[in-house]
Amino acid sequence: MKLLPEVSQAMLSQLYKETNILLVQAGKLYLVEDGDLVRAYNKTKHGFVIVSDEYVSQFDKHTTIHSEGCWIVTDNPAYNMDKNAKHNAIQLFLVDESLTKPLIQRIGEIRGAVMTLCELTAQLLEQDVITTGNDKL
Amino acid sequence: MPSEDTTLMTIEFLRDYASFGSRGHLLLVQAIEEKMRAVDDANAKKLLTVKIYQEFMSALEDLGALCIAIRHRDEGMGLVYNYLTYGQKQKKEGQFPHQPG
Repeated sequence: MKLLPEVSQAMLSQLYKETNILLVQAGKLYLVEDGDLVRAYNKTKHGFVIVSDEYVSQFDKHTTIHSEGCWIVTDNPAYNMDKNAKHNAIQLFLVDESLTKPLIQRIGEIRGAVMTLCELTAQLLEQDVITTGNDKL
Repeated sequence: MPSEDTTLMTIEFLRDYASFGSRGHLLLVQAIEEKMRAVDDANAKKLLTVKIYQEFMSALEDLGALCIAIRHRDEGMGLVYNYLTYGQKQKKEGQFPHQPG
């Protein structure tokens, strides 16, 4: 860092702040409810289906219709946030602009952290402060 | 010791990714946000919200993969290769990315 005073002054303080915020956010995603939310997300990535009715796969359908939420159907109770629930569905979240707005803002901040990290690494490589491995490409 | 070409290629990749590739998630959620404002269908809004959430998770995953690639840049295959093969390696080992426990 002594070799790159302009980087340490201009970029690092902001990067440090942003990284700390993002690490807290990532930690929450991993740790909240034993990581069930992250597991649920993986289900959507690997072929599981999102449905609008929590009880769509139940024979004795519940009469309450949850019109505001999105649900993932799963056959594995281990992925269910509600350990006492008899049905195997996971609520993702409510559809609400107050929830999506901060998410979009965070995506912008994540991109800022990626850009800073790339530029910082590029400058350190340029000045031979660090090396890269023998890339297979 | 990596060659000068390898180092230059890595620098070029990092700057290209910073200015171009890393923009994808943000661009997509902004487009989804516009679409959400334009539609009245509640079910369409639900599915679009899920897509925003997926992009958020995916952006976090990219940041994590970049940190891992930089941290392990000197181990074996190098920074760029480690980054590009992040997800594939996890799948080969029988574990999906972001699947704790």
